[in-house]
Amino acid sequence: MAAGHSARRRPQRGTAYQQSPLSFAEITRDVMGEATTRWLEVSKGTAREEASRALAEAAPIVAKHWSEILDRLWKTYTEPRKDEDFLATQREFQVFFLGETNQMMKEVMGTKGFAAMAGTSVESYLKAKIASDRMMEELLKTMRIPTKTDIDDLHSSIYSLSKKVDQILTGPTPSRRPRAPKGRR
Amino acid sequence: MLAHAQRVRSTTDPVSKFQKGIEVLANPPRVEVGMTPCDVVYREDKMRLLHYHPVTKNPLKPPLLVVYAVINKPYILDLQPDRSVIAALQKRGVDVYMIDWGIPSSYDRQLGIDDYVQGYIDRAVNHMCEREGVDQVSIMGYCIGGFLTTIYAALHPEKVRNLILMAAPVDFHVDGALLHLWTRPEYFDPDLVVEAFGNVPAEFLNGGFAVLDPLGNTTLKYMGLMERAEDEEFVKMFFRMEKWVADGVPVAGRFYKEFIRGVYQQNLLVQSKLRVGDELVDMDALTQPLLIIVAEKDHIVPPDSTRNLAKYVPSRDVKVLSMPVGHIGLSVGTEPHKVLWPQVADLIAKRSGPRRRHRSSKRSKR
Repeated sequence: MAAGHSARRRPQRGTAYQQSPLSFAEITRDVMGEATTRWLEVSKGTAREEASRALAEAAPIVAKHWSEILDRLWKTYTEPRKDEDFLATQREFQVFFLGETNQMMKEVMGTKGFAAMAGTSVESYLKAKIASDRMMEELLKTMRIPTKTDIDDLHSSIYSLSKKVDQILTGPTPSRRPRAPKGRR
Repeated sequence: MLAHAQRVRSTTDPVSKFQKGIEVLANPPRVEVGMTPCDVVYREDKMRLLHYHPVTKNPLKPPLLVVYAVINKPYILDLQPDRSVIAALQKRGVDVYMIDWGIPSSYDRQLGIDDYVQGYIDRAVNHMCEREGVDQVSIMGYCIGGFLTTIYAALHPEKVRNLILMAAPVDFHVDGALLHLWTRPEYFDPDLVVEAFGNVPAEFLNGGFAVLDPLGNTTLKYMGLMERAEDEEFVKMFFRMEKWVADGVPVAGRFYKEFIRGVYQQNLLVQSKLRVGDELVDMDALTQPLLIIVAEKDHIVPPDSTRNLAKYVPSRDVKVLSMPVGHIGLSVGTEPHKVLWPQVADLIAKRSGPRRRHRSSKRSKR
């Protein structure tokens, strides 16, 4: 993070900061923007490149929603209302926070970067499971214990047989009905 | 002092509310679901055809076959007496049958779209026709059941009087659904899922659905329960829904592969390019009256995914009804039961009675 840039944006205590509530949004956007840019540079050409691109896509969304949350937090606790029900105010902020976070998560999940990362994670898990199942099958075969593959083969045969029985009982489908040979009408 | 003591004991006291909420979560009430009386009139493998006892003297003909999705139990359509789609239709004289797909075992991994449509649904319809002395039925499909019934109506238009679709995924190349993005071929391979699991486990599917509304499904709904823990009716309804959500069923492996590849990824159905067995599913065959019911806040099946079917069919009697509710809200929401279902029952009733001449306008494009 460029020091000079951050120093200019660093929040000031006292009335100057209180007069500029939008600085939360600016700070959040700047911090996240700089972090993701730096992360993208560092991870280029590495295994983390896909994750970095996903992060870069998600960062503006997170920044947008977090700035809303921080802004609301600031207003809630620095602008007290008369005759305020403290518990009701807490509850109101809690509902707002959860709703905003939920919306943020949905938007992040709707990015291509997230879809790619989720797809990669699921694929890795499934491939690991398949490999593990195969190892288990090989072990069980040495003990001459029927395996899942054996059962699946059996099921496949039963299914084919039941289809043949259905065909025998109902006759061939219209597209498969044999055409009458030419000359015989 | 007295006022304070009263406030502490009152039901609006947050501490009492919280305590009541914890009590309810720790000891949930016993709930019953699917209470509308019915008989099992036909069985095939795991599939059962249920016939609900008519409540009017002369139920309308043709009867209605309700087909729900293969990924959950169908009693969502009959969750409780005042939130039952079955009961709402029966009140208007509709004679209701419903398919209960049962729970697939490892044998059912072989089942594909053709088995469900040309096998189970077709034989259920044949049985209904024989039993009721009719040659047509009306069909209502909900969610993936709507996808299956659309195919059935296109392959057997002569047997389907009216086609009703509820939040049915038909057009998959529309914006607005996370599932459509996540299942794109560059991100997701359904063959791997089936190779790893055989039948796709309910937990895998439910996990995907839960993540679509992460805090809604894990936090916000329980906060809502804590707020209304003293409302007995609300609490019972809540736990009926929880029971249904937890009651998922696995999906047959081949069906899952065909559905994701052919339909989610390639969107073959509305292009009239989907083959089911040897048959091509032609949207031009859908000439019967079509009622499309859309949930405007559906984050599982985008509204346009159902609504767009109207663009692809030649039927002259197409009606679209929409409600500002979510995917499940269509069947259990308060507003749909006040407004939508009486309207649907009336529409079905108007299109029942003696058979009108069926106009077949199959224009083969291929």
